[in-house]
Amino acid sequence: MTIQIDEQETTLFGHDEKLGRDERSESGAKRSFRRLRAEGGVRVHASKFEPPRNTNEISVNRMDLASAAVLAELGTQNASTSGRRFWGWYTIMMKDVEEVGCCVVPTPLDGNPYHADIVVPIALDAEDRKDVLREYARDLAYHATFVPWGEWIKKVV
Amino acid sequence: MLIASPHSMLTQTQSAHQSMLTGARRNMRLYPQGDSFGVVNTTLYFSSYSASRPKSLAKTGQTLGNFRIHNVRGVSLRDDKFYYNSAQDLIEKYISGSFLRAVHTSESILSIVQFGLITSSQNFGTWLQEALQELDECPLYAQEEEIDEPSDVALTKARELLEKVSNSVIDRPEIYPMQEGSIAIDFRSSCSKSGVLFLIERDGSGALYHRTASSKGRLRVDDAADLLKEGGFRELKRVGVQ
Repeated sequence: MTIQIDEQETTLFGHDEKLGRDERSESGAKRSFRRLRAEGGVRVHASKFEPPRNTNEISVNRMDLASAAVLAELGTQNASTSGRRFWGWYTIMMKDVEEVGCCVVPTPLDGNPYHADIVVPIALDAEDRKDVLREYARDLAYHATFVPWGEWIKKVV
Repeated sequence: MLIASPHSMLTQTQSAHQSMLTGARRNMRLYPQGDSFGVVNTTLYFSSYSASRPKSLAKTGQTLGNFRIHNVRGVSLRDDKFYYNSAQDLIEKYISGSFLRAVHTSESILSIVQFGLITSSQNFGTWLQEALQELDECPLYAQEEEIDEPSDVALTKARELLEKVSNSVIDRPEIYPMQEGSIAIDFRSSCSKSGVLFLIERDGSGALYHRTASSKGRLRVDDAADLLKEGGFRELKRVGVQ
């Protein structure tokens, strides 16, 4: 897939810009979807916004820079590289990320110019790093919602 | 005299109850296919709660002491004896109607409880089975997330905490794995971005993270079994989890 994007677009963030984090877990996706369908809202799990070990960065895509179909194709490609499936996104607004106390930096990748990272402000050697990361993860999750993608939602009981 | 079985009376009441739940309040007043509402309402009030409808329908304007049965259809008065029997029949129907209305009200209250509009001790723990199922799924969920699976110790302590907290909390938590083999028991207040996140660590220790719109904090304990008594219940109440 060839993607072209204005370079300026990848460096400027809008306050109301939407960020999306891929869901690659079937269990997580189905639980979120069932709750969404039953209650009209989702309790996004804090685990969805935990950064990988030894980093402070949470990988996201900038949802407003491309169509959902293009981003879903990217998500499907990325998930398949680790033998998993793409189920949808956990989305959060830029202003909510800032309200929580994190910042977002554009980190375009080869083949994915929409990539960005939410950066959690905690030192890598901080004594209470584990607790702080969890608190930020929870706070981000409180502001997030789930956007399913694909035909699988028709089969969920 | 009443001739219908209690079963038929309850069926009638349940039918009216269903109408109320679907919003058809007027239908609850009974038999909408009858005469115009203004004319038959009084009659239907009695007949709907009775076992059988009178065969004879005629308008009357007689009195019995202070009891006036003006414009009540279903009562035919021809002589003193018949007048007496009809009044008795009417009174008995009214009494049976009172009983059925009481049954009806009890059922309505029970339904409101089930919808969560008022509380009942029966609501505590109704979510436990579902939560334990989510707990059982945590190892698989962790595999899918490519994070460390929770240990048996953590699963056991999480189960104990859930069983204990389910005796006094109505709101259902979310159960899911987090990094480093932890298990999250995530209670959130339904009305705001407030909640308490319990974490059972892989080694059996525990932590809780509470948050409201204006405050947040955390607590760590060596044994996750102490989480509730060391502040878990207090924080659940404070953040608005019921």
